[in-house]
Amino acid sequence: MFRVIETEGSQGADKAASPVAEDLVVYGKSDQRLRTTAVRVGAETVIGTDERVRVFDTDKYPWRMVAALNISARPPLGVSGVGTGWFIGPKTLLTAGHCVYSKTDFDGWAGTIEVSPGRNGAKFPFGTVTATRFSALQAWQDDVDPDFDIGCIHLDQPLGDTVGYFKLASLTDRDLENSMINISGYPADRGAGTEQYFHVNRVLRTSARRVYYDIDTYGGQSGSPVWYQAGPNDEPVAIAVHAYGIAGTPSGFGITANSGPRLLPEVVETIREWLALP
Amino acid sequence: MGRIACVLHVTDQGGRPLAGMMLVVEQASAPVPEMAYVTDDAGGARLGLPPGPAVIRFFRGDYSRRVTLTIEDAPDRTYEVVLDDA
Repeated sequence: MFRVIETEGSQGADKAASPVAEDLVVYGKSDQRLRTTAVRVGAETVIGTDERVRVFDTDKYPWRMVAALNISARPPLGVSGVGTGWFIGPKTLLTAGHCVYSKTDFDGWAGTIEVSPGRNGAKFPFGTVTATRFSALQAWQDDVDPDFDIGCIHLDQPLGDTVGYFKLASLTDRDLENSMINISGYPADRGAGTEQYFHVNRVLRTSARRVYYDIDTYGGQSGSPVWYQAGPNDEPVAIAVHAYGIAGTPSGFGITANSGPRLLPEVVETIREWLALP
Repeated sequence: MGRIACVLHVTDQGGRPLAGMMLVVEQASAPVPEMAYVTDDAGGARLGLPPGPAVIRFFRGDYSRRVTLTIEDAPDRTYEVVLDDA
């Protein structure tokens, strides 16, 4: 039997929400997609017309819970990368597993990750902290399985108490069916990973371990939160971690979609263990 | 086919290394995560790519170019990338 496992969310120190969030964020469920066509044009993961919207008030809730990541490999490798993470607790961010652990990119664990919550170009409303401790699902480490591409960043500072953190929930297939979902992150093609962009649409379909959607994303948005919100006065609930573009969707599905691994009950259980780490 | 570690050496037409160039894999023969990479002082970048054709987009400021590489099933091979007008 499917168990719905949750973690707690927080609005952070300043309860005032972004005034534009109410207009941008989509809520609840819908029988209609927000766009009727999804034609692959050029870039792998911007589907049809690029409809991403830049978020400017990134110092406000909920945007400030999303952080730009600058990732560096351990010496002697000089590798660096750009990704996205988001707070799930006072000292913990969730991201894609490949942002913290990759045999091909980092020869194992990343060395350091600079975390900048709500970064807005040259503005760092909550500063930048450097993390050196990470976790990733064992199946990602062992098998590089995209279905398990989830990891986390452990901070020494309780920055999440200030910026807030997402609630997680392992929603069922039925819960996810027709759900309107939201993604915000830091793409490389606009602002070089320094500006936050947002887009929305409906869940196209689910598989046992992934959720698929025709929401525009781009490289650098790996690790972004995929969240559901029942209504304007309800809290955002993260249900997946964005990680893959169109090529990650099986052709047999007959859809043009990006995707991310779902936060299934056993995954949320593991994340709870990560949250409990010092 | 899984991804294998590849090294890119990115230079301008004069052979000078291009540091701080951002790159993203836009298309490949198998799923590639949506991460972006940045070249180091020597113009180098290391990333996992599946064997076969790969379309990689390079950015720096207003500059943008797409390059198609043919990735071989040879781990840690270095691919020379020469960007015009960079």
